[in-house]
Amino acid sequence: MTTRDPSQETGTDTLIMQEASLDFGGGAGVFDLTLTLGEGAILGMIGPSGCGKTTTVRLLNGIYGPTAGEVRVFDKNPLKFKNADKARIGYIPQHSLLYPNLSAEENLHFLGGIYGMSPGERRAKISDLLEFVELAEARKRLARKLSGGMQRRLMLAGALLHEPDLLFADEPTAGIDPILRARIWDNFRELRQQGKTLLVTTQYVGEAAYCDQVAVMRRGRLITIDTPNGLRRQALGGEVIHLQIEDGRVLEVMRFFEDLPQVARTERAPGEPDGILIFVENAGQELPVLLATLKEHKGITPRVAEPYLPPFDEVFVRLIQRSEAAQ
Amino acid sequence: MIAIFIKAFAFLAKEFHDVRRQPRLLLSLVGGPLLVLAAFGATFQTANPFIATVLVWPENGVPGVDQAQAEQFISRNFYLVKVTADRDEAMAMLDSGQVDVVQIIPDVTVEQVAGGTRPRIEVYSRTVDPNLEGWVQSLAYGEMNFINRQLLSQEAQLAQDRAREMDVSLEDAASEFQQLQQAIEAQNVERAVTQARELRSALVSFQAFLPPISQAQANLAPELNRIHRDTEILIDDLDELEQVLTSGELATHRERLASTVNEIETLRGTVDEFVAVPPDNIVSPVQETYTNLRGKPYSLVIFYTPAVLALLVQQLAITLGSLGLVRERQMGTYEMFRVSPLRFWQILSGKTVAYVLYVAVAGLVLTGLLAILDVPLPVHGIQHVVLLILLATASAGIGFLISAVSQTDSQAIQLTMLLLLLSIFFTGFFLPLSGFSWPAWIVGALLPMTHAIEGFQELLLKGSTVSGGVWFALVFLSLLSYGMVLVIMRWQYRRTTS
Repeated sequence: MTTRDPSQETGTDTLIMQEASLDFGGGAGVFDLTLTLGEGAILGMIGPSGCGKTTTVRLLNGIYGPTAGEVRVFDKNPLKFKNADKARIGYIPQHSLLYPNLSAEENLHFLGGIYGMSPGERRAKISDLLEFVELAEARKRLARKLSGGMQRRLMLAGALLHEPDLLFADEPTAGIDPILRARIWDNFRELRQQGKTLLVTTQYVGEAAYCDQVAVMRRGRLITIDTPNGLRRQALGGEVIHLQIEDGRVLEVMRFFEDLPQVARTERAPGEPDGILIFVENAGQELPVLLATLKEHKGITPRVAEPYLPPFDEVFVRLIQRSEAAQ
Repeated sequence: MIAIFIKAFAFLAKEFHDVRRQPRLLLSLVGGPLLVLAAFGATFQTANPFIATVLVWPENGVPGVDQAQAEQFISRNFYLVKVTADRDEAMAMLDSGQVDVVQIIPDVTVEQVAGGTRPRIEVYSRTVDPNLEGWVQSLAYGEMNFINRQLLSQEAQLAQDRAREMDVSLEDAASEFQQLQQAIEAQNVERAVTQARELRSALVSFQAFLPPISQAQANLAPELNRIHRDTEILIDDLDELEQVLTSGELATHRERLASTVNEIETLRGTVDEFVAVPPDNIVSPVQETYTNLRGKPYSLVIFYTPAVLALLVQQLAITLGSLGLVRERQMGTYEMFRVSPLRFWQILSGKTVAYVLYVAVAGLVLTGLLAILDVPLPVHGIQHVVLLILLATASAGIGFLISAVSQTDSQAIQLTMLLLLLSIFFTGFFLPLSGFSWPAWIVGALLPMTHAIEGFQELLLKGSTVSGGVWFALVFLSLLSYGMVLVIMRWQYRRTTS
């Protein structure tokens, strides 16, 4: 497992897990989690349903305590948070916790109220946040009449009402359409710009691209944690160049590149009869060199030549396969 | 400090909005209990059971007992389906389930009673209900007393008629004995003996007409006892006189005759007293006088209304409380509360204030509507409001306790229903608690309604203030229930995090 220290890139560590485990028995729980998250960054937690993402979030916000290892948030044990510490955290649980018979605005007033905000403080913030999540026109609408996406955005507004420094969002985009998901991620990135730290869990592997750091989980364990590009490199064993060659010369070109020292290996591009994937250490640096060499030795100029960015679904699958192979 | 109240107020506002957006819930909160109360007032007639009865009345009637009067007496407590002289027909109706009870009045004469015979009133039923059986037995006993009284009254009247005749005979005898006493000679002795024997015979005959002394001892008038005693004394005196007249000196005869005349005069005095007493007084010398110092008693509907009010208020608060926390748990909002800077007591106090306000307002509306049932409005209005608030608080606390131990709202509703059953049986609502053994008293004492019934009766029916015990009990139950809820919730919280 590869771990990187995000604090080196973003500043002070907001949260630290050091070999933290919570064993529910029968193989359920999370085990040996080690990760850090620096201030002002987005950590995405990706993994299939039941892999331990929600349990990890609950360990971090003090709902659960670890059975082994250590969890620290703001350099404190979450189980011993004072009210002032709790007020620095925003939380969007996995399921909608909006009261169906209260309007959007009333739900926000309630959430602000339990954080001790006065009605005056709440009024100003609620207007701003409803604008932020684009729900200003739905402020009087009952929560039960809001769509799933609107409910998730309203919960985001509720979690931000008391201006937390750290936001835990447990699958905030689950069950909503791609356009709304993109809008929610826009919100998250805007929050990061404001200096807030976010830990976001998701089942949508493609959302890893929005994060500064991505932790991949499986069966209660952290497979790896890295930047999105770092994950690609881990998954593919480097970077990849995509070429399309004229018919009948694909195998010849593949053999030619495999003999070059800077090429790790080649593969046929999936679904492309004339496509080749070339695995190198640095695609941007090697692409012109390889094209020139191919022209010089074979007299071939590819129809398409570009760095290949595989979708994160593919990255995720490769990482899981590697993890299983290692076990 | 202000933040603490803001947090509790957040729950108050949330519950307010939540309930006001549910018109059906509002309807069930206020309209439902009102309808129940109105239905109770409009339909409740009596706490006595309905007992369909056949009366078997002898063809010859019962001496001294008017049949119509007897039917009226029986109809006070029994629904008289039929009156017949046919015993078999009556028993067939009982067997076929057309009636609950058959009452058979025996064919009886005054002479039978005077002769010491004790005819039997037979009562039959096939009930499986022990309460109904108790009622039937108690009412049959009352009927027996009624018929006994009628028979004895008739007997006493006959004895008085006879006593008047006896008085004439006594007067004659006294006059005769006085004359003999003044001029006693050997040839008069025989006349005196004859006179004594005749008088003795008349007295023995008279004695037979008097109601038997065995019954008189129990409940007859003292005049009847005295006449029994004085007649007996005079009979003994006449026996002694006859003995003296047949064997003694003439001087002794005079003394003895004087004594007999005295005894006759004594008996005459007793007879005069006896005939002057109304026959009913002879058979029922003791009378009852009942005075309700509060004036006119209330109707049963009004009497039960404070208990119904207490039951409705208690159940409303328990239901709201029992669903209040379990619904949050099912929604998953506890997770949010635990992450937020919120203490559990703040959740509890916010919800309590909201529920108590709702229930107290509903209770006040119900109280106002009680006027429709002619229930007096409380003189001490503030105490009434405080009692409603305390009852609602203690009941909501018990509701929260149910909520704390329930995983789902169906579990909470089941426990609430169980509590309703306990409240009906063990609070004195319909069955007095004094009729139960001590474990039931403990259950009753732990239910707020038990104390609230007492308080509402004091305020609404007696027009007095609420006793200290009621206040103490409701405050104690509130503290106990909320204390237990906090302990349980803290334990559950620790169990989850550890």
